[in-house]
Amino acid sequence: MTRIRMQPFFYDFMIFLVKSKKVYFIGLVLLFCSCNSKISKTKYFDKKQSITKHSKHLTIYEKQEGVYIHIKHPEIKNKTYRYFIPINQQSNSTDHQKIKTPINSMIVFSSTHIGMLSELNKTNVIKGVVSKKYVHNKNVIKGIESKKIIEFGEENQPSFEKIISSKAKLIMYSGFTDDFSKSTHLQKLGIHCIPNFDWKEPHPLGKLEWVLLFGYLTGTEKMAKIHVKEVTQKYNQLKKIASKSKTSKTVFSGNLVGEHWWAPGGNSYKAKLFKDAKCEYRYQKNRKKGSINMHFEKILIDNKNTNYWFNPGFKNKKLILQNNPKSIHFESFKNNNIFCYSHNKNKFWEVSACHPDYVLADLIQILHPDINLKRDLYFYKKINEK
Amino acid sequence: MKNKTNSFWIFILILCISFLGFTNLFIGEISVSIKECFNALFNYDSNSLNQIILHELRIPRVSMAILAGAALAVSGLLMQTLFNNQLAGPYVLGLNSGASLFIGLSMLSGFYFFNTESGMLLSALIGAFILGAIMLICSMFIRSNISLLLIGIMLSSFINATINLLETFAEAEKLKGFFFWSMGSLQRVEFYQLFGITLIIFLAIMLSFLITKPLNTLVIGEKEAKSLGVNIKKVRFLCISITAILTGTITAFCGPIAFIGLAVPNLSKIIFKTQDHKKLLVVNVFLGAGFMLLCDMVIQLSNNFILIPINVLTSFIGAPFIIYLVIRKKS
Repeated sequence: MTRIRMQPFFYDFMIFLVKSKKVYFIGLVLLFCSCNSKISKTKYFDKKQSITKHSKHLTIYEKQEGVYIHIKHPEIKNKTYRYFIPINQQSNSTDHQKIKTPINSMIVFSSTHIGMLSELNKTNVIKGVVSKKYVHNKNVIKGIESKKIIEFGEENQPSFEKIISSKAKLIMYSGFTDDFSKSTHLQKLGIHCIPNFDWKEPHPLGKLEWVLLFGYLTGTEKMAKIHVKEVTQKYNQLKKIASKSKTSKTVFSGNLVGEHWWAPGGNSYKAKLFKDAKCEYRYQKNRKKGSINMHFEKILIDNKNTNYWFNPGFKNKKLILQNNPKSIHFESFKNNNIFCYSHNKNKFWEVSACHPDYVLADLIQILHPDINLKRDLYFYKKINEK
Repeated sequence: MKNKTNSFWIFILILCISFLGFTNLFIGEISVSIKECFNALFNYDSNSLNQIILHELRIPRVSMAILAGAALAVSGLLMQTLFNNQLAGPYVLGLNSGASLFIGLSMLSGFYFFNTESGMLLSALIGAFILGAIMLICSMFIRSNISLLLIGIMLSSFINATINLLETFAEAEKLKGFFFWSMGSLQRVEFYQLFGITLIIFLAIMLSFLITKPLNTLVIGEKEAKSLGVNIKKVRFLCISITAILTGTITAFCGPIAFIGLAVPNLSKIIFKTQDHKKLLVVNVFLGAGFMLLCDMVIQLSNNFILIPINVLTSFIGAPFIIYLVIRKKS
């Protein structure tokens, strides 16, 4: 009844506005206001002021009222997850999800997340992981064995009852597909679901900066900032050292899965590491940020005489041949110049994101025998016969 | 007159296969000469990149396309005659699924014996044979072909569910390997394996020529065949065995390849309008080989734009063909 009564009034009002040409004026005012608010928002969150410098998908702004965290979806345009960590409990932000910190209980769905928390001495906040078989950290393994940490399985099919019973305050997921399932329901229960797109970062130092997110969430931001600063410095120093080397080797990466050879794209995280280690990666000119797949004939033609083969994904040459007997035709295979982190994958996935300097140092050590860094290989190992 | 027409068509098919096979050897990233092709076969130099490409990749791939096409087409024909149903085939009746299940067990469980080359072949053969035997037993009790077909489809679903269960517990790397294996590939075979595979396929196809007479009588019906003195049990056993060997071998080396066994025998019957299995077997060998070579050619030509797995392409072509067959039969 109310609606029926309201309608004639609304139409009369609209006709009045159009007739008196005031509607154009109001429209212009509204347009101006919206543009103005966009400009002011852009100014307030100027990317140059972000704590992160290399990350493509994570920006953090420290303001008087608190910390704003923006996580940009790597695949969906204009989709940004916005979070606000207030300094005072009274501060609010209308378009940001408010998070009370420090978070003392968290479920993490990636080995990298464990590594980042470990770097900040905060593995005690972990209440759930994917599976014990993907963990390197001893404390977390102990936690799983003593049932203090729950195994949830893959992030696309977790048990919600388990999540709720874990009493976790936050879920950090990788967002391989889309938003975390039932995230809005969990939000209502006071459980924040935050995506972590560190795996989509094309720059190793950009990947490293995601440790800051964990820092702000767990109240260890100072420690995180120091870590990022130190590792960035070390990384840049190593890059400088490599650039002075007189040798330049050719490298290729990946292996045959089914009929396709999967290799890092020219703009990927691994290709960037190869570039900074001063070597010639065969697909450096490719523009892809993720993996590229090619058929074996192309790989063999391009890489028959390539000096080094990285990351074939197997522990020994026997297994490489079992996967693809044609690998025998690579010079790198014949000359035993194959390196991989397969002997301890979990260690690589946990630690490498926080320590791109270790990865770069390993590559420099392998590719430039003229440079002596006075250290042992940390992640990589030469692939032997057995 | 009809014999002459058939011989003409078979001659055309042989010409097509020779042309496709020969052309496929020259499609790829680098151009090769005829002399290099000859050398790669008879005077192989493992230091020459072009010869490596030919010897290790192109010749095994082209040979495998011919062998897989011929083997799957023949096994499809045998299944269609045995079950007297033109929609039967090793893929539909679950023989491929049986082989896939056992390969899945080998790849996903990591049980050492099955991870060897002979272990894989053996497990695929066992899988195909067990499924074939189950279908055979069912066919003894169930007269209706539609019911048999339904049982085959249900068995396939059951096996696929088992494979899904295995996948749930498998490690990510093994899962990735199995996923790509299930898409099929003509590229997995090694040059040295070709002789053995050719011998198995050749002997199995030759064996099928020994049962052409009973197969011809089976076309008019099981009762009629029995009254003509055909040993039905023996023919059934031979049909299932030959199909299991052909399908199992191809699945072990190429992964499951869909629809060839279904589409090619039907195509041969449409073109040649004959039920004489002597002719049909010959035609299916050539038509199957030609069809697979054509698929391989499409894959190689599209490699620079998109990498199409063989199983995807055969399904793209085979599925509309089955729909056409069903509609044609209905009308």
